[in-house]
Amino acid sequence: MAAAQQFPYVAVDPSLGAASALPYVPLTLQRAELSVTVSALVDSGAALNALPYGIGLQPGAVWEEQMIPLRLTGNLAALEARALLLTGTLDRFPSVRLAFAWTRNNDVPVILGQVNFFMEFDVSFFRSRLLFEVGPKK
Amino acid sequence: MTLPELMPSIEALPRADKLHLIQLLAADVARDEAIARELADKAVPIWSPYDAFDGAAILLRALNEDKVAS
Repeated sequence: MAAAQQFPYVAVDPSLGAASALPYVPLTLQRAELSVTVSALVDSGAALNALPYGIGLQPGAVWEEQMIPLRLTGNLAALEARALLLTGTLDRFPSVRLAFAWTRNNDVPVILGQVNFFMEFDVSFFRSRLLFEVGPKK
Repeated sequence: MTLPELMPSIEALPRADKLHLIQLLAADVARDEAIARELADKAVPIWSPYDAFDGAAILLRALNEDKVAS
């Protein structure tokens, strides 16, 4: 089994430095033959994975073909969302099926939440060192 | 450690160290306030779908059906 991999926090606002640092990981999302590589926010407070509309289109997902509606909360509640299953590859770890709430919103980051990113990967945060660690579940 | 616990050690410091400590504390407070001011000026959106457990249950069901189908 592949060992856990460390990733640095990313400062999303250089003027704020560490105050704006968030745990983003590079993630490749694949559907059939198409794929897109994104920077995804590892968010232990999120109940589920979320995907902005434009990113979902890139691996060829078609909104009208996704038949399972979802109701989201917070800033995401205003727009419609549907379930979308994609194959996700993180670093050198084996690919896994990831279920996303695909939202019509384009401003949201790709969010990796409890269902089902945290069910597939073990994650440890070391915010004081601006590092976090991700590995396949044991 | 509380301030009353620290006070005897602080009072025992040489004058130069006391001045250095004052400078360090002043810089520390100023840095925190600068960050707080910058944060206060910015609208920070919170995107996390907290408590979206109904949606999470639907995604789990979709994953299970996908596993059965494949």
